Amino acid sequence: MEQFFQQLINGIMIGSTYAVVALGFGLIFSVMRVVNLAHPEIFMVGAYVAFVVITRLHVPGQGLGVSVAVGVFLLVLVLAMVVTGVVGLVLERLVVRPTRGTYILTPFIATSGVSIVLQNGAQRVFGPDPVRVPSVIPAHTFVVSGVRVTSMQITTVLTAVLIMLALRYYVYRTRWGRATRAVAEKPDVAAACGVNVNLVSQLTVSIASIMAGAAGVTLGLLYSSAAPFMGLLFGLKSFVCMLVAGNRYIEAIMAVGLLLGVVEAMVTGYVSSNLRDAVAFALLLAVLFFRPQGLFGSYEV
Amino acid sequence: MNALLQVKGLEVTYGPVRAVKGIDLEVPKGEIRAILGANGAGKSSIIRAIMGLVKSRRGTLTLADRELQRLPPHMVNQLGIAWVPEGRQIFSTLTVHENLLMGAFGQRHAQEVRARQEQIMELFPILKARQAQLGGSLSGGEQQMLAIGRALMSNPVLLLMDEPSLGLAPRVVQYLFDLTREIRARGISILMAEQNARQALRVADYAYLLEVGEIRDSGPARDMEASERVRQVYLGG
Amino acid sequence: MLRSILAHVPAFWVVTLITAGINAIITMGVYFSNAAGALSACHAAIAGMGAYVGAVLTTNFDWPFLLALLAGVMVGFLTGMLLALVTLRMNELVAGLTTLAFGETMVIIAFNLDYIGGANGFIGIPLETTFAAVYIVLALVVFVAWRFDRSRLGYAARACRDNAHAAAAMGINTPWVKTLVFALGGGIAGAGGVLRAHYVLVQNPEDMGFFFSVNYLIFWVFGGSYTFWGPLFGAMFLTILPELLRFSLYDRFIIYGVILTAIVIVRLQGVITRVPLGRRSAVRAWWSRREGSDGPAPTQSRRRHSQPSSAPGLGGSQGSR
Repeated sequence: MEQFFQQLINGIMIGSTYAVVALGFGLIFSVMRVVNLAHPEIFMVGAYVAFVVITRLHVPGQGLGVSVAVGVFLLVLVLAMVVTGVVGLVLERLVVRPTRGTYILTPFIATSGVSIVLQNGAQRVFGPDPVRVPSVIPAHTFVVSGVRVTSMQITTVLTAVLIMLALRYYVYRTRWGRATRAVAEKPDVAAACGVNVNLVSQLTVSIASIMAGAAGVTLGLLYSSAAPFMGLLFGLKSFVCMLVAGNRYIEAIMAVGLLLGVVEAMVTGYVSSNLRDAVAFALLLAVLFFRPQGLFGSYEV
Repeated sequence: MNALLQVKGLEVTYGPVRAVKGIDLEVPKGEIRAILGANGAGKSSIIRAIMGLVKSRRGTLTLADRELQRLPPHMVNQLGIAWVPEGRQIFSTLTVHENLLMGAFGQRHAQEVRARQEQIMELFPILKARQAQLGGSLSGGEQQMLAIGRALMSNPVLLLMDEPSLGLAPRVVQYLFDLTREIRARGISILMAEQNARQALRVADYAYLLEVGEIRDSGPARDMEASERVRQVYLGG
Repeated sequence: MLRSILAHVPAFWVVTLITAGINAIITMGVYFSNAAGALSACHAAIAGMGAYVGAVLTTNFDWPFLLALLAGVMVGFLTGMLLALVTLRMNELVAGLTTLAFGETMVIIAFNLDYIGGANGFIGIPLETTFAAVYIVLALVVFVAWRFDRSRLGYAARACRDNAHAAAAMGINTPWVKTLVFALGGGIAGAGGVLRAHYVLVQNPEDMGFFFSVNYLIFWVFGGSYTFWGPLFGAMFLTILPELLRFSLYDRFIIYGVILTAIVIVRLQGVITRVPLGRRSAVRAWWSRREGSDGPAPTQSRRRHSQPSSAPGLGGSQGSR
């Protein structure tokens, strides 16, 4: 029984990160009908920003008081979010805006070009091997009836949950969030209502990038490493989450992300860790076969 | 210039095809003008071109001496033109209330927006009743009312209506066209593209007849009603 | 004679040219498969399936290379046909995703099939592919494409691609066209796969993955997906370009990425866009059917609004964003 809960916790933790990245993908896709292949690389940039900031700051790692540690963590998070937000803005202006609204593959290829640049840029600057990201949050393992949870794991889930709540608030309760939903559904009509669609486009890509950056930071700290190709597999799975969930409801993507994380953890724990990566695709095949528009429906493409 | 909206030499092309081949029209302040014509004659293209939604267009468009042709749709809206699209096109994933708020997106003053929303809900009591419902759950007629209400939320000087009668029951159509008179009474000019010539000529002051992208005839509504061509082709003889 | 010419070319470039040629063949497969409006995100997998079959036949059963090649073509053809039939009723995006899922599934199956080597791949494949072999096959494929573009099937496919409903209304048997065309593309990809396996001498499951399929799609769109010159150019250019930039390991990919992105943005319709006659005719034919009217009513073709002046119309109605 312990094993079950242990895997459940592990699964929720990684699933929440899948969810955050998938939400970013989904946001860009549903609002602008663009598949942003550079999104996983922005996630990777977030992790590297954490690496740079922490090593430059010569953070002692362990032995920090809790409040200082949290402060440092927040600083790193904010810096990463700023950097990735700016990257998102530039990406939108230079790559997404000229190519959106055309053939669906064009922004796909353009952003894949960007992802190649980012991956190789990271290799050039930091080398092809993973770099060690020193931990910031004092390591502490909580044991609750046999289930082990580390402080970093808690931080990861907490960050993810807060981000998702913030996104939900933005989309459903703010003026621009409302405009974003309108643009996602009918961009022409939204424009005729006075919505500057280009501005919404920028906001959307920036927000998605900021989310990816934050996820990168937490994952980098969790595994104490950042690597140029860390975005690839993670991004692919997040992409699958988006496809499986359909892009109509934010909550759907969140749920599927968590589900994927949990199922993967269960498969790893009970069956075999080799099959872990196959779970995502099995899920994709299974769902798309019966419900091509995703579990919870999507806008017409 | 007297007229509120002036269109000169408007051409709209979709790829190799010219949908609108150089037309002139105008809408003076306080009038309802109709563009009549069969399906595919190019009426919608004209409306969309005025709104700034068409990529390839030529000609000049002015609203009270401000040039429109280089403006993106959201700026056209902010200048005072509101659009009631063909087929309603309300935001089905937003509530009725949110749809109306979207109409007023370009407007800053929250007080005014609230006041206007009250007005509109008085005009359309059914919208008040269904405030919290998703737009997609409304009937065709209700959606049309929502679309018009949404357009009115931006306090426009000119309302563009694209085929308002499409897909609606006759009684609802009657009601809607009576409504346009109400709207005119409040000082809002209307330019409508409409296939249903009978209803359109009933409320319009002036009408243009569009065929295959060109204006074949135009004149005060009374005269158009009496014209042979219109009678035969559009009013059933 | 060819051999003596090739002897003067540095071996490195021969390798590059052979690789470029193989990529061109597979990309031509993409061209055919997508000619009627499909979006195949699994061509690397189709090629890989042909490759595995051909390789097993030559290595384990001593089949002559030519027969193995034909077997690969057959496998690719049948796979393409199957995929087309399965995705016939789906909308473009979902069909594309289904092909993607198919490709990944094939990778996983290959990983787990020990007969073909499993995770270690299938090794010991005899070297049968020569420069001549590749370019003869490529020339053949180009010839077929050239005839195809001018044939009734080619026109029909393009009409399907531009507007499936209109094509059907014109009397074109869209399911049949789509299936045939996809199958053809699959067969060609199968040939490319066999050639590749007998050159690289190893066939790995990962080679069938999404990443490689996307590469072929990139070659196809980059070059200009509306004529066969496009994919041909795209594959050759984008295979040779990284080799030209060999000065630094990472810089060259950075520059490659920049060039790729820049060109796609600047020439949204792909590098080669000589609008072929067939397309104009398909569009005109459709127009003349709707006599008395002109221009698509903007709201009518919401799902398949093709913008003739820009990229091929597979996107939705985002005309004036």
